[in-house]
Amino acid sequence: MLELKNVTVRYGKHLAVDSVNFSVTKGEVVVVLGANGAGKSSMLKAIAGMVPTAEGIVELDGDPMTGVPAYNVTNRGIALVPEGRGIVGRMTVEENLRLGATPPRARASEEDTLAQVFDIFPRLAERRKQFVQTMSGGEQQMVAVGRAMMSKPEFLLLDEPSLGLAPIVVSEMFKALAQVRKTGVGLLIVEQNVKISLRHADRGYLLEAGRITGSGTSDELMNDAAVRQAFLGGDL
Amino acid sequence: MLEHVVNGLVLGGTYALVAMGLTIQYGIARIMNLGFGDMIIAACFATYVLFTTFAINPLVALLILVPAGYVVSDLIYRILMKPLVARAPDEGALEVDSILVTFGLLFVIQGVLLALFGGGYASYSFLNTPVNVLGTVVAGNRLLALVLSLAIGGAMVVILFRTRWGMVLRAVALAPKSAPLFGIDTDRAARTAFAIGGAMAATGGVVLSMFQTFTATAGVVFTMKALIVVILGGKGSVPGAIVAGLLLGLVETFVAAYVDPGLTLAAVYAVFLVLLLVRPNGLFGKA
Repeated sequence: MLELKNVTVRYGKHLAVDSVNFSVTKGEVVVVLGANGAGKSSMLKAIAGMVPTAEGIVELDGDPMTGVPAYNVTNRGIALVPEGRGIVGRMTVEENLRLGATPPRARASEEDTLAQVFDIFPRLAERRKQFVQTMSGGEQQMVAVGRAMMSKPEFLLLDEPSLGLAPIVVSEMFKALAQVRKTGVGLLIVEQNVKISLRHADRGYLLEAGRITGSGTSDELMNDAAVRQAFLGGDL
Repeated sequence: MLEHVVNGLVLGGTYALVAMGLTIQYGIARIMNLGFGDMIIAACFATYVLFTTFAINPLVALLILVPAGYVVSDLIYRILMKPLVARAPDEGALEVDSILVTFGLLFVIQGVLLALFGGGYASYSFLNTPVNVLGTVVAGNRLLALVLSLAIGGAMVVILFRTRWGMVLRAVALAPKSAPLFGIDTDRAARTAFAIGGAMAATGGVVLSMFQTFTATAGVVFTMKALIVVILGGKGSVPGAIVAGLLLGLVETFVAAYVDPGLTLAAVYAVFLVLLLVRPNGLFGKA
C-alpha cells in the first residue's frame, strides 16, 4: 500500500500541498481530480522523491520513503510518468524502454517486461527503432507508460496522461492503463479530464488549493454535486 | 600529398581523442573543464618520466596512466566539483562555477609541472623508425599514435552506443532531468563521465608525447584546440568530436605544408568561424 500521511510541500513561502492524506492499494486505480495549480503535480513529485516534503511522510508498505533520492524511489517500486512525459526524445523507442529497466529490481526480468509492454502497446513493437521525438503525442505517451512499466513498479503514478491528446487517443490510453492495472500494479492518476478518468478509476479524491476536499468511489464522485459544479459544468 | 594526409590524420586523431574526453565531461557532467589541456600535459610528462627514468615503454605507460587519469579525475570531481553541483540551482550556474574552478585547476597543474620540469621543451625518442605506408615514409611513432587514437576512440564509441552503460550515460546527457525517473543516479553518472574524460586526457597525453615535443605551459593550447573541436563537432556529440578533430588535424597539416606553417592557427580559426556561420550548433549539434 502507498500511503500519504499529512504530506505538505512548500516552495519557499508558497504552500503547494497542504497536509494531504490518502492511500492507494495494489491493483487499484485511484484518480486525484484538481484544477490547474491545485497541487497535483507537486503531490506526485513528492511521492517520487523529486521535491522534498516539508512535513508528513510517504509510506510504501509501511516503510517511510523520506529522504530516498528519486532514482532510488524507482527501485523501491514507484514509477512516475511526469508532465512532459520524461522520456528521451533523441533516443529510440527500444532504448527508452530498456533504460526504464535500469533499477536493479527490474534488471533480471527486462526481456519479459519488454514483451509485456509490446503486448499492451503493439504500436511500440512496430516502431522500436524509431526516434521518440518523431512520434505523435499519443505514441510518446505510450513510450512514457511503457518505460515506467519497465521498472517493474508496484505503483505507477501518472501526471495528466490525457493532456494534449485527441479524445480517441485518450480513450485508447485509458484502455491500455486498464491492462496495466490487471498486472497487479496500483495506479495513481492525477487528471483534469474528469469524465474519462472517473470512468476508469475505482476511487477518487478532490484536490483544491493543495487540500483534499472530497473523496469517494467513482460513482459517488460522478454524481456528487460539488464535482459536477466544479468540473463537469453541471451537465452530465 | 599522401604524407600530409597521414600526418594530418595522426594529428587529427589525437585531437579527436582528447576532444572526445572534453565533450564527454561537458555533455554528461555539464562541467567545462579548462584544466583539461594541463591534464594532457601532465600525462605527457608522466610518460616522459616513466620512459626516460624507468625505461617503461609508452604502451605500458598507457596501462598505468589511463587508470590513474580516471582515479585522479574521480577524486577531482568528488572534492572540487561535487560541492558546486550540490549548490548549483541550474545547469548554467554549474557551467560558470566549473569554468572558474577548473581555471584555477589549470594554474595549479601548470605550476606543479613548472616546478618539477621547468619551462623548457621536453621530448623523448620512441619508435622513431621510418615505416613505409602506401609509398610514403611515416615515423613509426606517428603511425602507432594514429592506430591508438582510432582504436581507443572507436572503443569509446562502441561503449557509448552499443552497451547498456553507454546508453545510461547518453540518456543523462540528453535528458538530465528525466534520468532519475529511469532509476539513474545522475550524480554517479556525472562523476563517471568526468573520470572517463580524465582517462581520455591521459590517453591523449601518452599518445601525443610519443611524437610531439611539449612544455609545461602548453596545456592552454590543447584546451583551446579541444574546445574548438568540441564546439565545431557540436557540444556533447562524440561522433562530432571525431569528425571535427580529424578535420582540424588535416587543415593544420595542409596549411603548414602548402601555405605557411605560421598560419596554422589562423587557418584553424578561419575554419571555425566559417563553419559556425553556416552551422551555429556545430556539425552534429542539436538545435
